[in-house]
Amino acid sequence: MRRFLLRRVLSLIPTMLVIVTIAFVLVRVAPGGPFDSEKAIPPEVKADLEKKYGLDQSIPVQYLSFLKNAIRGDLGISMKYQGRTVNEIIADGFPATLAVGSFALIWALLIGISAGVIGAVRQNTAWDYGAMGFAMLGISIPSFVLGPLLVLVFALTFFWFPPAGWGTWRHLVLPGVALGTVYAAYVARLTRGGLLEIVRQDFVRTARAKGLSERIVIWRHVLKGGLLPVVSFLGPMIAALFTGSVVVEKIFATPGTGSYFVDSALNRDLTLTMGMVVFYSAFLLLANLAVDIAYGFLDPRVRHE
Amino acid sequence: MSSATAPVMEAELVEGTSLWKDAWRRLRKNRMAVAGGTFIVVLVIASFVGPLFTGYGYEAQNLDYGAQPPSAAHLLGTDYLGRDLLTRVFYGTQISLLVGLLSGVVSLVIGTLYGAIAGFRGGRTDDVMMRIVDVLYSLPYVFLVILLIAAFGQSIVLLFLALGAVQWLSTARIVRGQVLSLKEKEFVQAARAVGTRPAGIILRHLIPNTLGPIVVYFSLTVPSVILQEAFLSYLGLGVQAPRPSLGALISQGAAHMDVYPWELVSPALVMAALLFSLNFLGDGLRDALDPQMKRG
Repeated sequence: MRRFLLRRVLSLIPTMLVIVTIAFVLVRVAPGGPFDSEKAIPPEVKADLEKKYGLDQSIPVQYLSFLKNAIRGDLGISMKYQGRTVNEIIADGFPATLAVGSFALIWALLIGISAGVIGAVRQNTAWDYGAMGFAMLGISIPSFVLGPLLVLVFALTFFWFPPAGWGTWRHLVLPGVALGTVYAAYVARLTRGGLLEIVRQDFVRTARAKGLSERIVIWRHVLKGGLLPVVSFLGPMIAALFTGSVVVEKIFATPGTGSYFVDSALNRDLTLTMGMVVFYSAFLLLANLAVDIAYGFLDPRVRHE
Repeated sequence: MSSATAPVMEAELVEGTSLWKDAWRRLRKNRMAVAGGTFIVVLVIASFVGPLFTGYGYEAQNLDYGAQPPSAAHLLGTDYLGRDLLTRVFYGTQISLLVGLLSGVVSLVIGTLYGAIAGFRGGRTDDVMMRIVDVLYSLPYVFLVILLIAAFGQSIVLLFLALGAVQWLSTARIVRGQVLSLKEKEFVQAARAVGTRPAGIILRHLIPNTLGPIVVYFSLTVPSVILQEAFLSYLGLGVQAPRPSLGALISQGAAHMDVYPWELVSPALVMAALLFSLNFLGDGLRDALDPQMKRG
């Protein structure tokens, strides 16, 4: 187990380097700089600004100094939001993004696993068809369609939840549901498939043969193995939830970090763009690592590969 | 199967059945898949033929008739610039379908060749190539697409390439797995023995035999690419105005939905119905082509 852990942790380093390098190259080859606004700045001022941010140095030097600072946790100062550090901007916005993403994750798992278990336990009944029909519908309605529709119904017609904004738990519900429902549908299909795979196996027949109640067979024996596909889907799902929240935050005017991602790239705010890439990648890689470790505990076969 | 061993007395000829015929038969029995496939065909034809009959251009504005609810003249109403929504939905569907298809093909070609080469070469080459896939797999690629488009400007060709270039990883893994087991088979040894070059073996013998899973995966890639394009359009990074895509139309509709909801409802419904049908067709194809699922 220790070797498995060590190998997984070490593999993060090259991955992170690849991400940072690709992003750095893309950001630098992009035409246009952060200080090319419509108002012409005097050349001296522009030169001063570029010197301040180290843009006058050669690309390799900039790259190395970026890496050195990033390792120390310093992502630099934003070029557009002058006077604010990238760390501050992320620290201000990320709690909201995290809250919406976590709500969506819990919603997806709760609804998805319940629907999947119902579908598998009552396979080929109306319950099964109903649950899987809803799952198919859920997969086909993307968050940016569901979001506005939810606002139309639950905020502008019934006034149950606020249509946008931030502050109370009520502000979390609509964005969380809009973001999580598609993944609830995927989880439902994975759960159903995983359970049906396990139900066919011999040890389940043995468990039934020795007289265990159906409830214990499902809860104790089938669920443990049957949920493995869901666990391995957690990694991609977390990544998708947090990148997907870019759109949902826009719909619901959530004060998260999502909007900075697109804006900073379009504004050529080089430091903020790089900071967002580094921060999100590190977050997603660590989430993936946690999922892998959990998987290693649940399924001993993985550790010994 | 082989006629050489079949005794002459076998009076009635048993018609040979190929994987494809078998799959087609199974697919036709799946009512939801047939319905999905039919809807897609109808939608494709409608989106290309429809604009000829609506009598409006997708960018023709008529500010006197801005934001009209559905009427006889404008079956789905007009948007705030007085553009006919039905025409725009037709064009938007065209664009979304094109993006799905072309990016799907890009990812298919890259993934298939990459996976086949890795699987066929094996050994160190395979290790290195698949490690690269592992690394790329954990990239938050939506961000890279955003960066790519922000860096190089918004052209529709770049959109096809960027979306296709981030979708090929799973195809590569699947094809590699298939090729690994196929390359030990006798027919590949025979091809080697008669001196076929590696490229010939990959293109003529290995890839044709992995077509089943490739088709299945392709059918899953198309809806996900359509979704990605819509996602980017929603952020203003996809197809550029005045040209519509379903995502762009939904984005615009969502902005005005409290005042004129019909602008949101029609593109959203078409998008959902399209994805719904593609997913059902994809599921049907998987059941029909994946031999492992037969027992289910």
